[in-house]
Amino acid sequence: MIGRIRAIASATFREAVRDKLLLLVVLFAIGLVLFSRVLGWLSVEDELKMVQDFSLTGISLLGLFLAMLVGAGSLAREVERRTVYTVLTRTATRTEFILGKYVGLVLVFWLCIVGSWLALVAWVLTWGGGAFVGATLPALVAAVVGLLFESVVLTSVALFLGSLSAPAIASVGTFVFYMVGHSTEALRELTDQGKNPDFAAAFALLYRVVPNLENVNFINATTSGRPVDWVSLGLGGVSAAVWAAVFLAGAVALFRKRQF
Amino acid sequence: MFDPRFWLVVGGVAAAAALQGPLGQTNADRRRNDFRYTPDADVARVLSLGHRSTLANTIWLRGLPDFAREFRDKKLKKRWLAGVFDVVTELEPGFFTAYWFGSTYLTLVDRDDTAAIELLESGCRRMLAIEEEDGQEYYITTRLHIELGMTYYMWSKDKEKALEALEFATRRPDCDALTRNMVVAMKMDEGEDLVALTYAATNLDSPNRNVREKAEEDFERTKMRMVRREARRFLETHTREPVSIAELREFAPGVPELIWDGAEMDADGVFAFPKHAATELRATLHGAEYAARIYRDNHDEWPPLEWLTTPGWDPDRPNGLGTLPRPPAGQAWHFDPATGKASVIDLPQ
Repeated sequence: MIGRIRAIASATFREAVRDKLLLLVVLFAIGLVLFSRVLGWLSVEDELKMVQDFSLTGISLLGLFLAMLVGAGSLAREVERRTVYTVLTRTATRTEFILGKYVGLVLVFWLCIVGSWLALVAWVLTWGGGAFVGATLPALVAAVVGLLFESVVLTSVALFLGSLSAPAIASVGTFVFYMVGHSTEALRELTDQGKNPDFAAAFALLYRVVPNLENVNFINATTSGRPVDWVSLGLGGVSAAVWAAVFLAGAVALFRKRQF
Repeated sequence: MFDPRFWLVVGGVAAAAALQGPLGQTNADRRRNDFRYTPDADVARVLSLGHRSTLANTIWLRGLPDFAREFRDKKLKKRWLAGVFDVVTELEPGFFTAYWFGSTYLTLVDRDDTAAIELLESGCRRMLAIEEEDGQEYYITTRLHIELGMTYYMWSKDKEKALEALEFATRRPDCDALTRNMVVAMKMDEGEDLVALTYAATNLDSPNRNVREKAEEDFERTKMRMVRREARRFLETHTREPVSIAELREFAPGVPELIWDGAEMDADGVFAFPKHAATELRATLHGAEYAARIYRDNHDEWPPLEWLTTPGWDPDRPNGLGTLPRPPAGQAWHFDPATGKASVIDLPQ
C-alpha cells in the first residue's frame, strides 16, 4: 500500500512541478518578497520589518493560491485526462489514490513555501539584515513551520472540495475556508466582554467547529520580539494534522462513491 | 498610412491625458477635506485574516502621505489620524515607530498633546499587559514610558507625571543613560538625593564593561554635582567659600554621606574630584578609540592624532563625532596608530 501511495505521490509531485500555474504562483510570491523592499523604503523606519511582514503574508497567500489553483483542480484534471482510469484499474484503490495525490501535493507545496522563505531570508540578508535575521530567526522558523502546517490543512480541504464539486467551486470554497479559518478567533473576540451578545453564541460555535488556522499562524510574532511558544505551535500542528485527516477521510468517502 | 482605428486610439489617449489635468485638480480640491475610511480596531482584526502586523503596516504606510496632505479641517484631520494610529498600534502593540511618530505628529500639528498622551498611555498599558502575559520585559515598554515622560515634560509641563513615567523607565535595566541622568537631575531638584544616587548607581554592577564604566562616570558626576550644589548653598548662606570639605560637610548634614567620598579640596581652596576625573578620562579615551575605529572602517587606516584633537584638521575627512576636550593638566593626548589605543601621557617638565 505504501509503495503505491508513494508511486502516486511521486507522479503527482512531478506533474505539479511541471505545471506552469505553479511556477506562476511561486513567481508571484517571490515577486512579492522582492517588492516588499519598496514598501520598506516607503516606511519611516522599520524597513526590514516591512520586508519580513509583507513577505510572510505573501508566502501565506502562496500556500492558499497553490491549494486553490493546483490542489482543488488536481482530481478533476486526472478525470479529464483519464489517467485516473489507468491508475484505478490497476492495483491502486481509490483511498490510495487520494492519499497519494495528497502527499504529492503537500510535498510540492512545502517545497514552494520553503523556497520562498529562503528567498525572503536571502533578501533580508542582501539588505544588511544579518543582525535582524539573527534576532528574529526562531520566530521566522516558527512562522514558516506554521505555514507548512497551514498548507497541510488547506491541501486537504482543496482535495475534499475537489472531490465534491467542480474545480472552480472547489477553488472558491478553499478561499472561503482560508478566510473563515483565519477569522473565527477574531470574530469570537468581537463578542468578548458582553459586546455583540446577539452574535456571541454563533461566533462561539463557529470557533469550535471550524478549523482555526490562527493556531498555526506565527507570522505576527516575527518582528514583535516576543518569544516563540513552541508548545502552542506543536499543538497547532497536531490540530492541523487532525483536521487534515478529517478532510482527507471525507475526500476518500466522496471519491469512493463517485461514478466515472 | 495608419488604420483609422489607430488614430482613434491615439486621439482617445491624448484626450484622456488632456482631461486628466483639470480632473486631477478637481479631485485634489474635492479631497481637501476627505479622510479615508479606517476600520475600527476590532473590525480590522477580523479583516486582517490573521495577518495583523501586515495590515498594521499597510494602514501605517497608507497614512504616512496624509501627514503632510493639505486638509481644510485640521481638527478633523487630527482626530482621524489619531484613530489611524490607534488602529495600527492596536493591531500591533509593539509598533514603536507608530507611537513615536504618531505622538510627535499629534502634538506638533496644533501644539496640543492630549491625543499624543492618550496614544502613548494606551501603548504603555498594552505593553504592560503583554509583559504580564509573557512574564518578561520588553525594551519597547521602556521606550514608550520615556516618550510619555518626555511628552509630559516638554509639552504638558507636568513634572510630576513626567517623573512618574521616567522613573518607571529608569528602574528597568535597559533604560538609556540620558534618561536616567535626567531623572537623577529631577530627583536632585526635588531634594531626594538618596533616590537620585540610587538611580545613578543602577548599572554599577553591570556585567557589560561599557555599561558599567558609563554608570561609574555618571555616578561620580552625580556626587560631584551634589557637592558643588552644597558649596553654592554655603556661599549663599555665608557669603564666602568653604575653607575645607569638613566645613562643608558640617554645613550640610542632611546630604548622603556617600557624596563626600572622592571629594577633595586643594591648597588653593578649589574642589577636586579625582574619582570623577578618572572615570571621565576613561570615557573620553573610549570615545576617542571608538571614533578612530569608525575612521579606520571608512578609510582603511587609523587617523592621525590631530584628527581626534583639532577641529577641522582634515576638511576632506571631517570629524563628525566631536573633538577631544582639553587633556588633564600636565598631560597630553596620545594615540597609537599601531593598536588604535588612546591614552594620556605626561608632558615633559
